Amino acid sequence: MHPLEHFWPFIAFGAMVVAAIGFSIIAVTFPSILGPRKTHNEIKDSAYECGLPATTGTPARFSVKFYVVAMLFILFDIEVVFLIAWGVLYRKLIKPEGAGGLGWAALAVAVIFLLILEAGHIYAWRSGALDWASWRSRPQQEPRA
Amino acid sequence: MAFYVLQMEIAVVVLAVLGLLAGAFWPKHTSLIRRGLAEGALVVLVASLFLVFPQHHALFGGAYVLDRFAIVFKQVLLGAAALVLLLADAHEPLRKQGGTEFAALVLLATAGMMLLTSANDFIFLFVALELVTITFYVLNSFLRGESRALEAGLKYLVLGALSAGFMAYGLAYVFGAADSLNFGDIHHALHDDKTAQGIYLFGFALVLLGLGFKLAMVPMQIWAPDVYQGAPTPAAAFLASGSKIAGFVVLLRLVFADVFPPAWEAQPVVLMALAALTLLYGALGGLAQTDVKRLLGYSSIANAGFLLLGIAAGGDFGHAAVIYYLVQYLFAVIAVFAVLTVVANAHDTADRHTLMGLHRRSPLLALALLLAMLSLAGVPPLGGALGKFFVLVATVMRARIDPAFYALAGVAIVGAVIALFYYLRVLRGAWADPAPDAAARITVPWTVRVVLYICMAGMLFLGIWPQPLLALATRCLH
Amino acid sequence: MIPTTLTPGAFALSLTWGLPALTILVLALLPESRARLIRGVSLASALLNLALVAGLIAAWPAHRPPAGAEVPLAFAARLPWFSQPNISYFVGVDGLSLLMMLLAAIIAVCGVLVSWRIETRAKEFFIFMQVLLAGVFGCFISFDLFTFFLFNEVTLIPTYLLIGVFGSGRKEYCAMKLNLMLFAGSALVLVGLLGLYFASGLHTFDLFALAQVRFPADFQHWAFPALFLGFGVLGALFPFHTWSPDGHSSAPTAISMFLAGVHMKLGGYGCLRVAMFLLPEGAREWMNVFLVLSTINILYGAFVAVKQTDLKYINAYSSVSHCGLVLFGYAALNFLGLRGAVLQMFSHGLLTALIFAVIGMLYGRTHTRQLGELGGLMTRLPFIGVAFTLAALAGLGLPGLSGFVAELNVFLGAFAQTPLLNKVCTVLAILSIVVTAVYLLRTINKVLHGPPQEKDAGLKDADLAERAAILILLAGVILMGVWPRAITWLVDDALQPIVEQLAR
Repeated sequence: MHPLEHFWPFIAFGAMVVAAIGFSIIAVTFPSILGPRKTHNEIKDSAYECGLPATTGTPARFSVKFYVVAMLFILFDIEVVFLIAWGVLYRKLIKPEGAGGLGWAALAVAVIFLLILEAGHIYAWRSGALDWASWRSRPQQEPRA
Repeated sequence: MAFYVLQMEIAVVVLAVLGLLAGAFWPKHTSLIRRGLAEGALVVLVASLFLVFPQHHALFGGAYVLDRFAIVFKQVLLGAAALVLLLADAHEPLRKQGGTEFAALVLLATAGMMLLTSANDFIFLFVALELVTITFYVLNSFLRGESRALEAGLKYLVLGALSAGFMAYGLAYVFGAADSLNFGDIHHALHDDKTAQGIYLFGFALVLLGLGFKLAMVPMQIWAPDVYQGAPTPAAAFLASGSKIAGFVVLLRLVFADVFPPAWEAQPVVLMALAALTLLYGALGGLAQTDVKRLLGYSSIANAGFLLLGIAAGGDFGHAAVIYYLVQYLFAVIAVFAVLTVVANAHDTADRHTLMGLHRRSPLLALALLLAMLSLAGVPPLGGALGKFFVLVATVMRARIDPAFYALAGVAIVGAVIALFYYLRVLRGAWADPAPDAAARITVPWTVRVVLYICMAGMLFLGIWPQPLLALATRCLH
Repeated sequence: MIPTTLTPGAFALSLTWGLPALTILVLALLPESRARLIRGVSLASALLNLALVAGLIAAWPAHRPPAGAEVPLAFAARLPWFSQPNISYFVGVDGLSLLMMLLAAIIAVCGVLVSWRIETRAKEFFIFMQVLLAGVFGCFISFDLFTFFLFNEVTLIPTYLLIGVFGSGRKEYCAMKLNLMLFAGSALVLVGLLGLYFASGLHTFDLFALAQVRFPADFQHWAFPALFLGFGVLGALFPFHTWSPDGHSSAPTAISMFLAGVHMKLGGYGCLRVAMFLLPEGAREWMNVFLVLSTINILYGAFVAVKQTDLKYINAYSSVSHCGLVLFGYAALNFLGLRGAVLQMFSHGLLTALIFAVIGMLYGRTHTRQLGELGGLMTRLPFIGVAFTLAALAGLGLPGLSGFVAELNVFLGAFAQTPLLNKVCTVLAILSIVVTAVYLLRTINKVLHGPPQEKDAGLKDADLAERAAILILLAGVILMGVWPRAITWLVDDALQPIVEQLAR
């Protein structure tokens, strides 16, 4: 047994790290040494040398609609991820109760889950969160008691 | 799968979702819907009293157990939720905000708490706990126009996330040591393995720290006064009653399931120290407070200290004492918050001026405040007196085996005497100070009236005739 | 065997606190504007209670158990309350508790009478007063120590509100001080009671069951001071008396009467009934300490009273001195001393109530309690003046009035102890009578005699209600002075078991 046998993976990993760092150093420094000297100005240095300015001041504001929609997207996106676990096991779960599965209940749980998700969807829709064009913040408030 | 085991939680979740949708479809009738949700919770509670539950049922591979202990506390929590919903309907700032979201969120938090009472597995516990905590992030900052409410929500969020982190980190160690997260397996897994026991102790301490956030236990208590002060009063009421009760139910479950680290069996040093510190912090911190809601934050810490003491003392009687204490505490604390719901000022805080001359402005509120404060202070013939007494008895019982508990009993008594000072000071404002000239008589909405009558009856009943609840608590243990 | 159901006798006993409790409900339902009706109901309830107590005393000789009975109580009943920890509603009376109940009932009636003129927030005032009454009566009939303790706690809170709301001067500070100190005292008592519960091995709070146990010496060594000090705070034991002058001085008249006259006696009662009865060895061991402390009580209270200029403070410090005499009597550890102490409790209860009532009347008329601003009132207010004089004379121990009987017993008992310390302390305590005479006579002289003042010209003497209150209290003082047998008849048998226990 080679004395370094246990360490091969680390050595390989270390070599890769060294190679990666070396390559980036070369890629950054060689062009400026070897390449032709060019003029520098703000436009020349920007990524595309045309179009919208790449940086602006921080006070620029987005419409809150973006946030709401982004948030809703993430929420529903993540919720649907839960279905993957169910889907992977679906063949096993759908077997009859005697054979180690759950039978129809396996389908029922997913349907219930989707129904709850749909309730959230309907709620978001009714609350006006999806109304992009004519933004209503909320449905009309109840009269004060 | 025996879903009927979960019927109470399912009912509550369905109620919450329906409430949410109904509020979105009929925005003109939200007040009616909110009250409907409160009554719905009561209906579930009453119905559950008549349901026959299977004795000791387990679900999800033993992650969820349904025993008498769980059922009783599910009912207690449902009751608390119903009372809080009634309060929320009478709370002026929340009414102005409109909508049914607050009520639906309270119900969802309740569902989380109810799941907590049955948690028999650390992962299940974690998920249920997060359901409660995340809901409270929203509830605490629900009045988004108030900077204090936002501050409360943010503080709760940051510390809540921190404590969840502690807990998850601890769970990793627990799993590493015991190779299982199920309460039933852990005790056996640790048997005779000193190394595993050491790792487990570390992991469990972190889990306790994460749980301590819910209990307002030192060193995770720092949020309580700020959040109680800033959160909408009904949310603070639920935080002080439901959330705290659920936390202690989990702690009790951990004790029952023998999940406490084996090193603590002889003497739970950490728990004892935390109990003493929590007690003293709550008692001393409240002395300088002038805002009643903030004061209640400290009171909640002091009471957590008493409860921790009961759990540290242990024994059948100690656990029965904790159960009794939790139930009587519920009535007292909801009664105080019910009073504050009505009298709190436009910014939903309650400095000393808000209570001045309350006896003239509304005798009912003044009386309820009197009884509740006395119960919290531990004055007979109210439930709080016996609650503290039972915990002390349990402590002294334990002290006969382990004399260190005598010191704890001493700390508890000193804490109770110190706390009396601030409870009495609140009463002075309500009863002795003259009403400000501009203050008119207060009309108490019927929903708050109902809550107050229930709470006062509860406090007096438990203080005068504790036997039924004690017997029930003892039955819960077996 | 003690019945476990609510026998008629036990029911009658429970009524003594049940009546005030019922009165609270009735008063709560009455509208606030009907002040006359509220006063009427309160007076009727107090009178009924007095009649009830008188009836109990009349029926007592026929129902008392034979001497040497294990439970020397009449009308006893023990109803289980809750099983774990084992607590029962155990009621009964012996002569001692009957005497204390009589005192409470008398002062309750007089308290309502002198509060006749209270107009603002009368409803709350009388309700809180009834809570106080309920707690006190409950204490005197309870022989389960936990129930006793609970009733004792019940008395604390109305005290806070009564002083804090209706008091005068630095009322909030005084009310808070009184409550915190008494609550701390109760906490000490609770520690002692829990100790008794567990150390007895019986797991019971039953006083007479505990009395059968011989507690180990090291337990008695720490439990006795806890209990004696705990109750001693309420009994104004030096150096824990500081709440009492402040609290009693800022309370409204009727409440000063009740607090100094009855409530403080709960402390003395507890010391005797619980600490000394259950822990005789501890009592013997610690008594020298408490002897010295109570001697300081007596002298210190008297000397400080000399320096006071506020009438209420004079009487409050005089109370400290006289309550010291109660504890001083206990320290004698013999029959005469104990009897003297009990007589002193009764006598001081009546006297201090009388003096507080008179001071309240003077204050109500002249609107000052400062010695320097009062004078020559005897000609303007002869009835009140005579009452004040008689009370002061009784206070300094004039034979023929109640104070003399009590003090004689205490001093005889204390001097009978042979150790030098006892003798010295007794001599010192007796000398305090001289100081007492100084401040009481000086006060009488200053307030009642001298040239009448112009500003007092239009003052009216006591009205009917006030006269009634004064006459009832004076009657008690004089009756006890000329016919002490009327009181000792009740007490002697009750003290016997305690003396036997101490001799064990």
